[in-house]
Amino acid sequence: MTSSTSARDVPGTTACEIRAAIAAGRTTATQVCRATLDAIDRVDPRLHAFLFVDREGALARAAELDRTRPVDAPLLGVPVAVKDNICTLGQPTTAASRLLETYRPPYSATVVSRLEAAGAIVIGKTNLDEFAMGSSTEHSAFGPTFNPWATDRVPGGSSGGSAAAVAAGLVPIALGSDTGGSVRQPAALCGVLGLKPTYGRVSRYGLIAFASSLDQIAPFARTTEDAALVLRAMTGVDARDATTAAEPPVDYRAGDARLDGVRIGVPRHLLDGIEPDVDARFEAALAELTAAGAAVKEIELKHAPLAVPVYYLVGNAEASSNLARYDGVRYGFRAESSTVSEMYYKTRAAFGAEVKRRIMIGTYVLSAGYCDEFYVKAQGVRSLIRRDYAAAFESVDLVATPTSPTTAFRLGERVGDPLQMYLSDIFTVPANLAGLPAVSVPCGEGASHLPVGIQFTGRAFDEALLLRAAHAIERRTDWLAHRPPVRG
Amino acid sequence: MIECYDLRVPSLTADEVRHIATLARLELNELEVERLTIELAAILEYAAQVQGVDTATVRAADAEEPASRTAAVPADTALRADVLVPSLPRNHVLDSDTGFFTVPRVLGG
Repeated sequence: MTSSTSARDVPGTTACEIRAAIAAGRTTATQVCRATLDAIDRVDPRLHAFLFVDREGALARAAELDRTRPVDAPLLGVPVAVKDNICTLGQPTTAASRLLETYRPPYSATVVSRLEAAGAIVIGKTNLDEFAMGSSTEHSAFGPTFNPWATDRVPGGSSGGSAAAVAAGLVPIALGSDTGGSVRQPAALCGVLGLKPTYGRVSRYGLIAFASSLDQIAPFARTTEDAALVLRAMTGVDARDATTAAEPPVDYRAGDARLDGVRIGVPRHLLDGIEPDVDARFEAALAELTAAGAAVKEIELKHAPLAVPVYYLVGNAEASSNLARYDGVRYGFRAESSTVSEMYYKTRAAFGAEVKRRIMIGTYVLSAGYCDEFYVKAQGVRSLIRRDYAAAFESVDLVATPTSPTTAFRLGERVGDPLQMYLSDIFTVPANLAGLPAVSVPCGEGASHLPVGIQFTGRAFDEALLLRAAHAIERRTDWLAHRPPVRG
Repeated sequence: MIECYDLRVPSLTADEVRHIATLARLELNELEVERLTIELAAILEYAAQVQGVDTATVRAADAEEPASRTAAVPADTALRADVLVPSLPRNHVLDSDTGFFTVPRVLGG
């Protein structure tokens, strides 16, 4: 932003630019906040990225920041959007479900508290597939989100609202959650960066649980620099999540975009059946990585083809257990009825079709007689997938694949075929099963000018190398100059 | 390639779907039962691929490290120090007017 910044200039700027402009006194948190709210008012009717916009709360917070001016705050005055399955004190947190339509959490998630402590302003809550179960955001109880690149297309899912909000330039940063690719896949389909941290890097306290051994809260940003900034602010040990790891913070500084000495493995045996356009952009990106000094070689991840079935067994088993708590007693919606048993059934009838389907699969695979054949077996294969990565990382530093086998598909195209929808997660679920960090970064346009993403998976807690690779792609393509037709 | 053998693909009946629904406390109408019988059978048939994989080496490792079976990253159970820390503020948790938890009336309604 320049000294002549007007409110219209704010949408599309980065978090780093906003922070610098406010700290230098070229603009105020209030001006940025108003411009953001105006842009959402103008644009979001065409996207439906937001389920709730906290106009009053955000302006009050901006005024407070302008009064106190904590100029060293790393996210000073930066507007952020938060997926609506992450708790925000006193604000709606619906998980896009009728069951939680009236729920107001009595606390904020640790990530929300940390971003606010870093100076960020939570501007609103974004749309998702109900309880984060889906790959298109079509399973929201409150209607789908539309892709800013083509509004007849899905933004991906389940964090489709956050991805669309960042892609349209409404906010520079948004939070999502990634259980099987729910940040990386919509990042790819919307042309932004999405980084799933290592399991344990970010506290899950205040994230509405879907599959607890797979869930991680993860940021969206348009630039690598912004992704690094928000990641640093949100990570670290939290006494309220016993799975958070005492690891040194992510050590990344934007460098010269060289990747000399970095070894990148490509599991070509997984790439059958991807769209030709996606394949072409992926190969072009590999050529750029080579030009940047990386050594690209073929690797095998023997059990990765089984990642999708393993994911839908393990993930749904955990989901059926986690979602047992929505019984009308403790949270949100309660159906009126004369007996307790009837109340459970009538209350849980408010789940959408996809959530019911997954609870049914999870209950089946955990039930007596099938648990060993399905759940226990799937856990065994999960361990083999994890070992395959450990073996691969003896000879390479990163694994590269496309993020999604296709570009953004049309609304309604897959919603009637659950299995087909699940298969769109083929490249993203292995990282969750192995607990590894992975990033999706835009690498060009495919068919119909829709974005294509390349995914890098790294060693546990080596997010810094993911960011270096993402930065190299960002610098060697002109992607940041591309803007979607629907934008702020 | 992974060798697959002797897959036990379940054939699902409508009665089994109703039974699972009862276990999950889900009320399904007949249309949902019919649809889920078909969809679940297809999904489970696809998922049954895992049954053909030899996981004997994993089972042996699990015997030594049971937590690795269900955890993303095998780790020791983390315990925080047993010291008193502030809990959630009362005004965030309790009904702001009464200062109590507010629940539906169960007696004398």
